Amino acid sequence: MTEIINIIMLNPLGSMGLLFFFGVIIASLRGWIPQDVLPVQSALMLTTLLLAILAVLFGKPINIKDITSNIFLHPITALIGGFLVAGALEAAGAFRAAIDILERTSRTPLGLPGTVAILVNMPTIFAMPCGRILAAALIPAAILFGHILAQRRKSSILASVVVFGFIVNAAASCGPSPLGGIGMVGEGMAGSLKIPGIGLGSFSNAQSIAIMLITGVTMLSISFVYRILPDESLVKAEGEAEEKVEKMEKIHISAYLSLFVFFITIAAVFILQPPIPIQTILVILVIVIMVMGDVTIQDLIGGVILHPIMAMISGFIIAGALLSIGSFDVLISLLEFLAETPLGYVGVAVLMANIPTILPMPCGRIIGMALMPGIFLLGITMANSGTFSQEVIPILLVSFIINAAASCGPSPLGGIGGIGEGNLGTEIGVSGKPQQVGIMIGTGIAALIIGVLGPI
Amino acid sequence: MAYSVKLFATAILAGIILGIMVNVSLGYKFYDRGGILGGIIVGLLIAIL
Repeated sequence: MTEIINIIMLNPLGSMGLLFFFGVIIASLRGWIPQDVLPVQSALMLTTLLLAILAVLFGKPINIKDITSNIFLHPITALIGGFLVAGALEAAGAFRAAIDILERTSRTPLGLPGTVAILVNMPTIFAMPCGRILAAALIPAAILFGHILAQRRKSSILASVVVFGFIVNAAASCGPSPLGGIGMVGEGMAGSLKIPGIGLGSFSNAQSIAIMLITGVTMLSISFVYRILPDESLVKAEGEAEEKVEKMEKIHISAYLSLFVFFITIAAVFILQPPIPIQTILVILVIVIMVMGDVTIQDLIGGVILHPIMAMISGFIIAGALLSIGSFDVLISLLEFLAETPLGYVGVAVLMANIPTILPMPCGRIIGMALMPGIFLLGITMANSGTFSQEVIPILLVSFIINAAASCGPSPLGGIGGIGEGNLGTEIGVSGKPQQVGIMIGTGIAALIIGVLGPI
Repeated sequence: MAYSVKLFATAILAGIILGIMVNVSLGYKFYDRGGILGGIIVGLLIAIL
């Protein structure tokens, strides 16, 4: 106890920064800060302002450069580019074409279970910069297949199994996205240490594979443990309406072509790794889709979602302020103290990697960006302790990133889970626990993949 | 080469596990061909893309 007080007294400003940061996060989650009055992003901006005033009072004013230098433009511009691609794909009918392909797939030997396995993993296959893009675009397909399965197997819970499997997959899919995903920030940080094999896209596959298992575990836990029963009449009505739309709607060949061009481009970026910024490739891709699919500028703008952009910026800004006033030094000292308890470094690492899902924010980028420098420093401290190799840094980062990316699924503050709950007519927040179980397992799997196989 | 083998082997293994999980959670037999094939396709797509 005296040691903790000593750590706090050594840097009271940094300690206050940590206290305010976690205080705002917890107060938002508990509903003490009403989100319709002050969303968590705005609350964090105000906290930064408060910290800047406190820093002046403590005689250590924050240099504005310290905050701005922490705003990494690359993931932000890639994220905006990704949204433009998503807008173009949506307007060109590429997502509708994907649903149509799935419908045809269900009539092959893959049948319904095979089609559902592909459908629920569609968000990670597409890997858009925000899970909300595909959650909104493909939720009708998830409801349709859930409804068909529930009817055929006479078990209404199957609609929840399919929808929430799809939802948790969508939530986590912004982690491995090459279009400005959360993983890019971690890859950049770990890459700066010149660790062999770490670079753009090096965390991507480990995250995607972990997400596949997060999805499976979430579906299993809903089916056997949490038993979330949907409002049957609502699912029936929505499923039938979607079936009618599918039958009536004709999908133009350009929609399939847009989908094909998108897949080929993303595959080429990863396989060939051209020496061109991803943003340039995305802009060219947008132009190609616009020409093929007769897409307007308004369609592109309509695809931009401000929520994750603001979340990312507020995360970067609060992280810059916390770095500047020494909060991360306090955090590392506290974690080093904790590491001396029976928890050890491994226990501390497990705890820190799971913080985003313990405190689930409406966008994983909030805690992701705000705490990533702390996680990075913890990794360096662990590597320097002599017990661990340098590989502990990417292991810790990838676990934290996948956990942060997926954490918007179970968030009660307007997380992606709410889309599924609303569509199934279940109680709000009911899908949080099974998603958290899946994410916890997936966090461990991602660490295991990087630890055993290296960046694949 | 070793990198590709590791990547595809891991993705396919994860796909098979995913397929089994999907089969069981949807009330099908764990070895149902459809779910496992679907899982393998997902694994392959993720490895390729």
